[in-house]
Formats: sequence, structure tokens, C-alpha cells
Amino acid sequence: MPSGVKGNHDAFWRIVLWSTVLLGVGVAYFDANPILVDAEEELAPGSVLALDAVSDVLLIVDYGSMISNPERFEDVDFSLAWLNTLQQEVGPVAIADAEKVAQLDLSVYRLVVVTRSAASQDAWLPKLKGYVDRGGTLVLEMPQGSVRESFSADGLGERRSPQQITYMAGLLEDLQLALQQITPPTEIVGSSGPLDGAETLMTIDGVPVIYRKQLGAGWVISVDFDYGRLLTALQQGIPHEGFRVRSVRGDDQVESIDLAYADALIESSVPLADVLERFLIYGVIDGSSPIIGFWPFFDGMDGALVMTHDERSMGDASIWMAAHEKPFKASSTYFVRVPATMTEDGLGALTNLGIDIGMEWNRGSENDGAYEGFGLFGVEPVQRAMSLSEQLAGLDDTAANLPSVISVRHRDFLWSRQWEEPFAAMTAAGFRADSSYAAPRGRLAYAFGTGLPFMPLSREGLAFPMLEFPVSLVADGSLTERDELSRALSDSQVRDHQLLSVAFSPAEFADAPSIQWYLNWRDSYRMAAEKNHWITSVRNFYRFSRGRHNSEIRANRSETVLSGRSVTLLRVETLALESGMSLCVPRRIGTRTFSEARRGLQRVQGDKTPADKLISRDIMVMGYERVLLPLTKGFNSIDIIFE
Amino acid sequence: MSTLRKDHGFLSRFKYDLGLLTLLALLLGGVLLNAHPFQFDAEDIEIDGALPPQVGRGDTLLLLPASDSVAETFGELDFSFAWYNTLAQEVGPFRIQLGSALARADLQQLQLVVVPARVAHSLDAASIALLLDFVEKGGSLIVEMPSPSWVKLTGIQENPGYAKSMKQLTAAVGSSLQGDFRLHLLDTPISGPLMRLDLLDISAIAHGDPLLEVDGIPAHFHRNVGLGHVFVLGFDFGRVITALQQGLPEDDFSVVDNAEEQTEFTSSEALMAHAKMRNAGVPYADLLERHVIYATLRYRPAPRLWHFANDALGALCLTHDEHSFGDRSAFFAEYEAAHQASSTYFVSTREVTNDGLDALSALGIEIGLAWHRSSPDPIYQSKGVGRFTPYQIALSLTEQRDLLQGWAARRIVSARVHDGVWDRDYFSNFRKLAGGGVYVDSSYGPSSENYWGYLFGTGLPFYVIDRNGLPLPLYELPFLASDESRLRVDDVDVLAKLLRESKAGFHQLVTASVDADSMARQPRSDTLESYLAAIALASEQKLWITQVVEYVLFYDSRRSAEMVSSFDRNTRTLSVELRLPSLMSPRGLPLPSPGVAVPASFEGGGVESVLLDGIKLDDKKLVHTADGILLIVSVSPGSHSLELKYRGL
Repeated sequence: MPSGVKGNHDAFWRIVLWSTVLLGVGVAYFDANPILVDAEEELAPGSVLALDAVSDVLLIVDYGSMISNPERFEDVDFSLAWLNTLQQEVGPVAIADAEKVAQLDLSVYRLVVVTRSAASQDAWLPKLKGYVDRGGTLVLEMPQGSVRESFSADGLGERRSPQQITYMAGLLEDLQLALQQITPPTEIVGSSGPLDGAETLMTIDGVPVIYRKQLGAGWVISVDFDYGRLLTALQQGIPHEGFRVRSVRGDDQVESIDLAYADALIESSVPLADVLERFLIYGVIDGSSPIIGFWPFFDGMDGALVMTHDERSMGDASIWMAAHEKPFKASSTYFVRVPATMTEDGLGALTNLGIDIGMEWNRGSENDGAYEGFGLFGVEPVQRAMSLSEQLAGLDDTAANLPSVISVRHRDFLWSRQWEEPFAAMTAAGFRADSSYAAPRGRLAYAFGTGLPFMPLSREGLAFPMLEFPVSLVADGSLTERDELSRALSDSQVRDHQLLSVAFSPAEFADAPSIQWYLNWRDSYRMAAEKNHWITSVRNFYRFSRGRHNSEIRANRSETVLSGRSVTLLRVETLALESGMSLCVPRRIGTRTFSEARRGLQRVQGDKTPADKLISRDIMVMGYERVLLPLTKGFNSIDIIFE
Repeated sequence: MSTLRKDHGFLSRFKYDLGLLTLLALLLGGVLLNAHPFQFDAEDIEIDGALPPQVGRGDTLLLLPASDSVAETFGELDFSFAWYNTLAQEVGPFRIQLGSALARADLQQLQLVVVPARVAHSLDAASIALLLDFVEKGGSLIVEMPSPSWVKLTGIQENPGYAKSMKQLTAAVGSSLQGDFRLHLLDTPISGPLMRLDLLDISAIAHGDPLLEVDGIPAHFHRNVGLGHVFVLGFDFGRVITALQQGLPEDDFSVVDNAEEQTEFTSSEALMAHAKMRNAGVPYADLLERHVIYATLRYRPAPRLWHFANDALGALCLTHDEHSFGDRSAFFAEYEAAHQASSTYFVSTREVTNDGLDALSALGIEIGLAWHRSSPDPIYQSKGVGRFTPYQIALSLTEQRDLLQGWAARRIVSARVHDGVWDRDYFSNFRKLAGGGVYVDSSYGPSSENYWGYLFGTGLPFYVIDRNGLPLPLYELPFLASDESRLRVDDVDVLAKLLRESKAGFHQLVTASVDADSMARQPRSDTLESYLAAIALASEQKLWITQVVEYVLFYDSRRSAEMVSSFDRNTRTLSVELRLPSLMSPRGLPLPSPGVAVPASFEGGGVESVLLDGIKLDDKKLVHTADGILLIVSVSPGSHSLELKYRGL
């Protein structure tokens, strides 16, 4: 062979040889350090809600006025946040889109709330006037045009961002002080002067922002600030520019706590959003239109403790906490990690112990998360993060006969850099409850203004059809957290009436074992039981809440004479879809005080009062006197007498 | 030729490539070898049992055999040192002497002499005559399976022959143990030969007091000789005690378990003397020991040093296997320090850091070694050059101990075999432990699910007997409950049960094992509940919460005390002179003194008065054992005199 040809031949084989070696080295390297590819998450947009509920309360929202793709949080219309307040405190609420209002008979409702989105509908004025004249209570959020002229102060002052809440009529002083710790993330409407004949109930920076006035037989309550934005900012948190979220803790990863509106909230042992909501419902509206609602807790208990356990790949060994709970019939939620370390038998055992099985969203990040490898012959140089839907499918594959998984939690309470994106993904995957919002580890706090679940809203102000269960305590085993939990349960029993979601991971003993942690967990059940709290799971509370929202309630108020006494009679008809529901009514209406409640059709006829008296229980909700009446599942007809 | 040239050309042309490839292959081989090095087992040193030195001074003498012949079978083993364990446990200070060297001077200031079977058969007539003289002048003698040479003391004139193996204790009419304790005594698993005393003229027994019957045959009786008392045991008490405590191997000393396949290792459970010991709530060995020793008190009151600090009626010893859980293990110690409790950690040299050990010590924790056997879970030391370590050698027990001592800057003298693995040879594990400088082992105990209690007949430490019949310088301290075998069985908190029953009558050291990684590896809330309840219960019942080495030091200090007594039968007065050593515990605290236990009554008369160093004690403050047999007087370290007067009938 000529030397030139031989040289080419050698060069060829040399290239083949070293390319093969390089390829081998490369494959071995990438097998050990694979290329990570992000997941493609399926996202669902927010929904337009129209609820045709049988209720005394109507919420009017103009979906047409909502901006389709706002650039800033401040541009979003959060009118649907009113639904969170009304569903939380009342239960069933009807929602009407503005375009349907013309056809609506408002007289079937005792309370109508016209949100900011629908605040400039001049055409509705006659209808609204007629409704108020006939005794209805109308709430107007930041009204405009002729509606404002007819019902509210002139609104001639500039719209501005305020500094501090300065007055809330009748609210407990310590709760007012707590609310004054935060700068309200809202916009207020100033006027040249107060509305004649109106009673001011709340001021911000000294400006009347909630005031009410009696017109005809009814009442008009004006809310001259963006209540929806304020409530959403407190509960759901606020993003930065472009709806982006960044770590405020100087960390690489974003956690849900980075969404919290203010430092004062992160450290708050008072559920500030609920203070605001209950002030509005019981301190403002109840004075004009008695609020009759379903109590948010099972069996008329004073609150609830939702126990949650992050399985954190501990596998079937994690069942020990569920086994401990069984003897005293407590329930809890396990968030199981995918790829599942738990076996089908383990998941079955949990189900048999009455545990709600949720899924941990093991979101892929640089060094953690659920990934699927791609390659041949066991060599996997590329790994792609599993999407939420794929992870859910993976859990279903592990145990095919599980009840449908409705609850989810982000691993380590992480969050996305996009404010709403996780809710959109969770909705698309079919989850109905998330419990990723959490207070800082080891501190009990209502970092999101509430312990009660709320419906998250999209950047368009539309609803994600799911509930967020904020976690008030992620246990780390300190002695203080036990004391804080004890105090929070006490406060909840006598004042706040809260859902306290707590997270105790069964894997804690593998990572950072602590006897105090165990005692805190074990004693939390005792403390909750002593404080008359319902110990339950995310699924059970979700089901109970949805049952409340979908139940029916109608109340009719009349003045009458009973056994020669002048009384106020509330005739209430309800359809209770869940067992253990209770009715929550005011203890006083005007100058009259709750006397008794009786069940049954034809309960009060003339002077006759047949038996079947209900056993009532007096409670205080953030300083507001209320009475609880037990309901039976199904139809209830109750006469409540105030004298 | 052309092929060769061609090949030569190929090698020549690719010589650099091939050289580089070879270098890469060598590198790859080195990396692989580094990742998967060759591994070699450790060599552990074994030592033989030896005669222990005389420590302390009491008024009880134990005669020991001179021979140290190595037994080939369990039946050949010399069990004399079971008596050594019995006296150490039930009396405290006592003297020892070789039977062959017994002299009259050895019998001065004694109230009891114990003659084990091996000595009884080897003692010459002169020595027996000395003992006869001792008894006739008022002394007490316990003699085990005596030959006819002892006839003047025992009344047994001829060799009655032996039944090969005992089956069951059938009566204990004369036992000092009453009620349930006596019923438990009759339930004690027994084995070994039995003298057929029923085949003899039974006048010797008939004129004495029968104390125990085995299979319907008198096996333990008392008779008066002169002014003194002789207690004859017709069965091999030493063998029964050894089988219960140290375990019962096959006759060739092999250890066989119930598994279908006999693997290289087993667990200590395979040595249980009887299947019912797997969840025995009764310390059978101790009951039998107490029956034998208490029997002498009925005829002559004598003091003994109590098993626990002052007048505590029991003790709790918590132990935690670190199980390579590393510094995270400290959480138990932190809780214990906050609740005036403490424990012993058996630490592997694998994960824990020097700082972690310092932190444990600062919390008052006693550190012991978790001994990783060469197989199945060895700890290797890598060998090689720099970071190239192509082979590993398992660390021996001594190396592991040295490593831990180096880190902990203290003397490590206690150990537990990691994961409870046990050799198939009856002695070798103990011989290695002793050879590795370990003084207390706490590996005996339950590890299988639902096993708990006195698997080895006692909660108290005992010396391990070697193949030559002599004790190894090693205590075995069995643990009674472990999270591995579950602390709650059939809804019963076994640890709480053991503690309650310890105070209520068994008076035991209850040692429990709760692994530091238990809640990570096999989490059960029962484990923590039981652990927490044990600390609370011990505190509530004023039990002594102690540690492995601390207790053994205390146990040794009892034995090294001086205690002699005299009894004036006319005035019914027991006088005791004692000197208790003053020692420090390993955690730097003064080691507590044992109380002095004396019979609570004599011939039906209770204690009329107690004078300690001439000062009358308030009898309402005196503590009685739950069986009512003993009364405990708290004393401080140093010299004391105690005088008790019994009421007359």
C-alpha cells in the first residue's frame, strides 16, 4: 500500500478509535451528570364563575370589565375575592354576571353586593333603588357615576394609596391594633365630605371608606376602597413586576412564604384577613341585614386542626403517625412523594386507617425533584422533570385503587417564580386543594392572613376552582412552637375560630430528630380536643366546605307578637348537604336578643309554640356575639325568636 | 513473514495510541479498584478466663476449685463460678479461697461458707473436718451435690446415683419466698443432673427442713448440726444458674437456632435456656438465687449490700445504639439531660464526629462501643497510597475501641455487638470482647419481634464463665426490652410493666435498648411513648436512673466493701460493721452507696430498733423489699456500725 494511502487509512482508524473513546467518556460523564430538562406543565386559565345558589346573598361581578392580560397586580380586578369572604362567613352565595342583572329579581335576596367590576352600571340605578326601598341591603364597592351620586359620598377626592387603617367601629381594640401594623395594599376613594346621614364604620388615613345609610326600608353600604385587592394581597400574596415572584430571603429558590404581603403578616398570630372579613360581615353588614350563615366547622366546634404529614420518600415506614392517630379516630393528610417510595400496600394501609392521601408536587429543580431518564441500555444522559400530571399518573400507577387524589403540596413549600402558574397547573391536573402556602418553619403564624381555605384568583381576576389551605405551623420541634400552638388554639376557641393547618413530617426523625417535636405533635391532638377543635384532614375539610357552599339557605325576617310579647322572628329554611352542619345567627337584632329557636314546619302559629326547641350555643367571633344552632342533614325549617 | 511485518507495522504505527489506551485502561482500572477495593477480615484477640483477685471482705466464704481444665462438653464445664455470681449479686462483699488451700484461719469471722459441687467432690477429709467444726460452733454451710465424705454434715451416707436431667421444680414448701414469688420459683426452667436422694434412707432429710423438691425428689434441705446449719443442694445449682444467665448451648458448645439454614452468625436469643424465656416477666435465675441465699437468713440473720443506690427499689438503665445515625443521635441525650435522666450510647465509629461525642459527654452520656463484627457489617479501613486505596481491612474490636477512645478522649470499657450478631461458639464472642479490653458487654437481650423480659433470667450483671470454668474479666449486662423487638406487645407497655414489677418485688436493674435511629428506620410511636413513660415512671417511683458502666462500678464497689456481722441469739441483736468505698461515677458524680439490707424479721419477730452509728433510726422511714423479707437502711460512704434488735416471740 502506498504510504500516503496507508497514512490516510491510519488516520481514519485513529479518528474512529479516539472518537469511540471520547464518546464512551462523554456518555459515562453525562450518565453521571445528566442534562436536566424542565417539565412542560399543562396550565388551566381562571374560570368565570356563575353560581345559581339558593341564598340570601347575591354577588354581582362584571366579567366583561376585567382586563384580559394585565401587566401589574394593581391593574387586576379582584372583585371575585368577595366570594371568598361571603362563602367563608355565610356559605351559599349566588353570583350573577353583570349582563344577567337586568333579568334578575333582586327581591329574593336580603343582601346584594355590587363589586368594583360592576360599579359603573348607571342603567341599574332604578332597580337598585327599588331594591333598597323595599328593604334590601346593598353593598357597593367603589361605585361610580349615577350609582355613586345616588347612594354614596361624592368621590371627588383623588384615588390614592393609603398608609394605615385608622378606625373600625366596634372592633376589638387589639384586633384593630394588629391590622394597623400593615399598610393596606389597596386604593381608596376620597370625597369632599362625608355622606349626609351616613354612619362611618371604617376610615383609612382618616378618610371614611366604609359607611352606611338607611334609604327607605333598606340600607346602602358603601365601600370606598378596593376590598378585593386588599383581601387578595393579604391571602394570596402579591407578586413583583410582571407577576414574578422572587425570594425575599436571599435564597436561590422561591418559597411560598416569599409571597406573603408584609413582614407583619409573617409574624402575626392574628388572622388579619379574617379580622377584616368578619368586621365587614358582622361589624358592618350584620347591623343592617342579619347575617344567617352556615358555621364553617363540623358539629359546631370552635375551630379545626388539619394535621398534615409530608412523606418525603420515607416510604411505608411513614405510616407510624397514621397508626398513632387511629385509636382516637383522628384523621390527617399524607402528602406522598413521587416517584413513590411507598408501596401499593403502604398506600392501602394508609387508606384503611382513614388517611387522606394527597400528593407532594416533587417539582424538578437543579438538584432535586422527580425526573425521568432518557437513554438506552441503562445509560440515561438526559433527564426530564416530570410534570405535575405525570407525577399524579405515577401515583395512580403505584396504587390503582386509591380514592381520587384531590390535595397537593409543593415539596418543601416551594413556589414558582410566576405568581399564579402553580395554581394554573394544579387546576389543570385536577387538584381541588393545595396546601403549599406556609408560615416560616418553627413559627406559628397566619402569614397569609387566615388559616381558613380560600379560592385563589388568576392574574385576570378569575377563579381557580380549588381551595388553598395555608399552613400555620411547619413544626421543627422547638418548645416555643408548642406554646404558640396552644395559644393559637385557645385564641381560636374563644375569638378567632380558625382552621389551623399544621405540618408534621414523619421523616423528621430521619433528618432532625427531636423528642420535643414528637411531644409537640402528640400533644397537638390533646390540645385541639381540649379546645373543642375538629381534628381532620384536608379532604374532609374541603368536602365540608364545599358542602356548605352548595347547601341552601333562605331567611325571612318579620316582627310579630308571640304569647303577648313583641318579638322579631327569623324564619330560616335550609338544605344542609353535610351532616354536622350548624347555623350561625346573630345574638342580637337591633335591640332584641336571641331567645330561642324551634324546628319544624308550622312552628309558630299565633300564640302557639310547639316543642322541638333547638339547643343553642353562644359564641364570640372576633368580639361579635353569635349563636350556633345544630342542623340535621337535609331540609331544616327553623324559627328563631328574638325578644 | 509478510503478516509479521504487517503486524509489526501496525504496532509501530499505533504505538502511541496503544500506549495512551493502556494508560487510560490502567487509570480506569485504578478508579474501579478505588471504588470497589479488595476487602479483608479483621483478626480479634481472644483471652482465657482467669481466677479473679480477692476484693472486699465479708463474712461469707466461697470455696473454689484449683483446676482450670478446659471442658469439651457443657456437662464437663465447671460451674463453681455461678456461685461467685450469686454471692456477688445477693450478698455483695464475700471472700474466696481455693478449696485445696482451706485453713482454719480462713474460717475466722465467717457466718456462711459455700461449697460448690466441684469443690465438694475434691475437698479432703481434713478440710471437711474444719468445716464440720465451723458449723458445730454456729456457722452456716451451703454444700452442693456432696459426696458421702460429707456425711457428718449432710447425713448422706452413700452415693445415691443421679437422675440425668431434671424436669421441673415440684414443691418449695420451706422456701422464704411466698405467694406469687414462690409460684414463679416453681416455674423456673431447670436442667442438669439431680441426686436421687429419694433412694436413700431419708432420715437426714426427715429430720431437717425440706426447702425444695424437684420431680418429687428432695433437692434442697436444711439440717441443724451442732449450733450451726447445713443447707444441702441435691442438684447442680451452678449449672442451672449458668444455663439461665449465660445461656444453654448444645453439648459441644455450639449455638443452634431455629432457622432452617444455620448461617455463620446467630443472635443471643438462640442461647435462651427455655422457649418460655422469650417473654419472661420473671427473673427466674434471681428468684432461684434468692431462694437459696434467703434460706440461710431464717436461721441466722445476716446483712447484705442492696443492689441499688441507697434504698431505691429498682433501677432503670437506658441504652441507645447509635446505629451510624451520627450526631443526630443526640436528641435522646438532650431530652434526658433536661429530665434528670441519663443513658449509655453504644457508638459506631462510622458516622459520629468528635464534636458529636463531646456534645454527648457534655450531656452526661456514657459512651460505649457498638462493635461491628468483621462480618456481616464490618467497618473497613482503606489502605493504599494517597487517595489510591485498592484494598480495605476490617477494623478489629481493639482498633474500633482505640478509634473511639481517641475521639472521645476517655476510656471505653462497655460494648454491644452491632445488630446483635452472635457467634455459633458459646464462648468466642465473650473471649474476643474481653480480649479487646471490654469490661461490660450488653449484647444479651431480645431482638426478635415480641420477645421481651428476662430472656437470661436476670437484669443484673454477671461474670461470663469461660471454657476453663474460670470467669472472663467481662460482665454481661442483659437488656430486657428493645425497640427492635417492640416495646409494646399485645397492648402492654413492656418497659413500664418491667419497671413496675421490679419495684413491686423483683428488684431489678431494667436495661432497655432504644436505638437512636429507631424512629427513622422502623418508626413507631409506641417506641417513644414507652421511652418517655419509662423516664417518667422511674422518676415517679424513685428508681435509680443509671448507666451501664456506672452500674457495674457500683456493683464492683459493693463487692469491694468490707462488711462483717455478728448475731447475739440471746439479745436477738445483729451487729454489723461496714466500710463502704467512696468513688466517682464515670459522669463525674459521686457514686452512690448501696443500702444495707437485713432480714426484716427473725423467728417471727420484727425489727424492734435500728441504730446506725449509735443513732436510732425512725423505723417508719425504713424501706422494706416488696416480698417483705428484707429491710433496707441507707448509708453513706465510709465506716459505719449498724445494730438491729429483733423482737422476741
